[in-house]
Amino acid sequence: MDLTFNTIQKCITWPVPDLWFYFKIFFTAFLVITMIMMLQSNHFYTRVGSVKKFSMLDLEFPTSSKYMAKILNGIYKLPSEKVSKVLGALRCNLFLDFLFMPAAYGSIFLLCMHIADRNNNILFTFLAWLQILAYAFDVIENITILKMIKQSPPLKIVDFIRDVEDFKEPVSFVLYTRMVIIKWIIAITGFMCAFMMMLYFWLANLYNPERLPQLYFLIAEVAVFILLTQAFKKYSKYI
Amino acid sequence: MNTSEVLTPEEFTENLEVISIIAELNKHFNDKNPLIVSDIIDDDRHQYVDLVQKGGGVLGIALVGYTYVLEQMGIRFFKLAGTSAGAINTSLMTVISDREKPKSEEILKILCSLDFMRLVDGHWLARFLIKSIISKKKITCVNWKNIFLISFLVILFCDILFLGLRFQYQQNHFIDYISKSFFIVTGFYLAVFGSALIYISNLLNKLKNSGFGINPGDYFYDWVKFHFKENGVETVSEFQNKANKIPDIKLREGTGKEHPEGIENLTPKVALITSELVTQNKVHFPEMCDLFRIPEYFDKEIHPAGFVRASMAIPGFFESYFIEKIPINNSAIQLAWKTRFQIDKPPTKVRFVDGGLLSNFPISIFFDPIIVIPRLPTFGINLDDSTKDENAEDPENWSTGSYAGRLINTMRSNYDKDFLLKNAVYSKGIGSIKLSNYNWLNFFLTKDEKLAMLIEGAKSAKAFLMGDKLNDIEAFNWANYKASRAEYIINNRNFNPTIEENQSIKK
Repeated sequence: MDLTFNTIQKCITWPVPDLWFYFKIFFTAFLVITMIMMLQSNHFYTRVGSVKKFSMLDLEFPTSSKYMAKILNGIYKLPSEKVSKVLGALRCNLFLDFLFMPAAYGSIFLLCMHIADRNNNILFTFLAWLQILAYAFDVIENITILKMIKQSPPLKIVDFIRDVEDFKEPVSFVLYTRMVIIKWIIAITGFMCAFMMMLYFWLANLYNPERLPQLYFLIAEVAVFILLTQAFKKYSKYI
Repeated sequence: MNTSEVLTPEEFTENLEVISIIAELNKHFNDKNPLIVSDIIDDDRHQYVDLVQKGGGVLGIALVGYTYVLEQMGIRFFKLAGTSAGAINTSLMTVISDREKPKSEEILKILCSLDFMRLVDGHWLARFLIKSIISKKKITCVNWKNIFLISFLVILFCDILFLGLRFQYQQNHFIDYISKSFFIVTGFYLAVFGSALIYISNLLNKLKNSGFGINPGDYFYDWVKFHFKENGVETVSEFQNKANKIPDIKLREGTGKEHPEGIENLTPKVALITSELVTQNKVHFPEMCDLFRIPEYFDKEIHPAGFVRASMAIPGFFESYFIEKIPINNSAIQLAWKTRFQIDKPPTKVRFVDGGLLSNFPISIFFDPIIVIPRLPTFGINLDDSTKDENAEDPENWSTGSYAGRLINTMRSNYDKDFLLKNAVYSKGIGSIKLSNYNWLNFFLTKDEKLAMLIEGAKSAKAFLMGDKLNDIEAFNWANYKASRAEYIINNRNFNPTIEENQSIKK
């Protein structure tokens, strides 16, 4: 049995050659695309009650299908010159997300596979391949929102209570919200567990000191990312 | 909703305690000792009073128990006012049937069929957190937060411990395995913590972007809209028509001399109180609709359910209610703002939160200093959820929460309290329902809790009408009330600033 387990483990663990090279590419792409998406999200406005900002998280974690419909429909209630700007930013953001996904999930996949290979640990192998499921869910989520904003107004807003029968959320909405939650759980768990293991290797002095420049590179990347996003946030107020 | 959890109106109206309350009242008030609470009656001998209902979140259920008993005793309501939960009852009492007919049973049916949890229509995680925090009387979320923190610290400690041991016992694979496992578990904890942080950050952002409320309040708005529609009210005009419809009233026999004005100028009124934050004023709906739209646009652009939604917009809990695109260039709008609030430049949009911020118990709303001897009293129903507060005796040692709570309560209750202090006679018409065992934001009440609150309302109504020596409650005495009001007006006319301020409020 142990032989079978090890065999399966060896089959599904993928020791990526030049892992850190690919990781640097994926991670850099992740940071750059995140920055662009954050800048675009400054243009996300809708009219729900009053004109207000919304974020992708509002569309990923809507309180109800009605609220999601109100956010999307509300874009069309903005002044006409703003409607095209907001829709353009939202569409661009969603299309960029298709590039963001392989960068993000690819980074997490590589990290988990690295740990799995180094540690002979099936948990990380499992977490790595699970990122594909998260990727798939993210694609479905993106396509769903893109389809919604294609029509004008996007969705029919239904009163919660129309007749004696009480309102029930559509199955599609329930599936959508569950899918988004699972996606986030997979991604965050994969990343945090891999990060903690790497921290362990660092603290246990199990890393090759020659890898230090790569670590400095990653830290510098993150620092530049934070500084640039803060700077762009301030600058974007004047756009 | 599970039907076994749904309270039916019959479970209240046929409750033995409630039946006994009505029976006792009927026995006490008989031909020799009739119940007299007003000089305004109709042909069916119903007596008319003005009614003010206090706000109090879910505690508002008890209001219906109170009004049920009053209606069973032949009392009907001429003018109605309410804040927050009181506004819900007030609006339903306005739209359901006519003033001559009792409404509490119908309102009971509506409230019983409402799944209160649906009012908490924010994100499911927020609903879970609110339920955890609020379903107990005291906040005990500290428990699960402490468990999480303590277990995290334990795991962190084990991380360090086994990592250290690993250096000591480098050949021991078991310690190596344990050490790695603890790091992985720490990763899971951080994943949970990270997710919570992202969610809370999103929630705070939403709070800022969405009128500072966790829940959109859409379900509540639609629920009110639905029941208004069921009773033939879909526009502001229809709501106003129902609010202003005069029942077939007359003066009680033998009171003509006391009331030389007769029933002249006795017009019904409904007031739903809300707080407007842009201009920082108290607003009554539907009366002050003319501040926001010209009459031709009332019905097209505002729904009367919005009045109730505005009154119930508990800050932080529900999103604020906005009215935008106010036609500030219209002369009628400008005149309305100038007349009511002395504002020369009206705002283009307004933002409403719970009326309880300014006047949770608007007992002064129907005060008319011109009338010396009142023709009908103002009844108030006070929802009293105060507890014996040991902290009141130790103000130096209040926690931050206690300090903030008292700060807010001192400010928000001052307006109504000040009126009652200056016009103590109005206290005679106020009945209090003791609800210290309930949390006003507990939308997760059980059926038994709802029934218990309704019965408390009924008991308080009985005590108000009959008196309760045990609890030192005097029975309402109409003759005494009239005399006290008249004496107060005569003594304070031209001297009392409250009277001067209220000159503009007319019956």
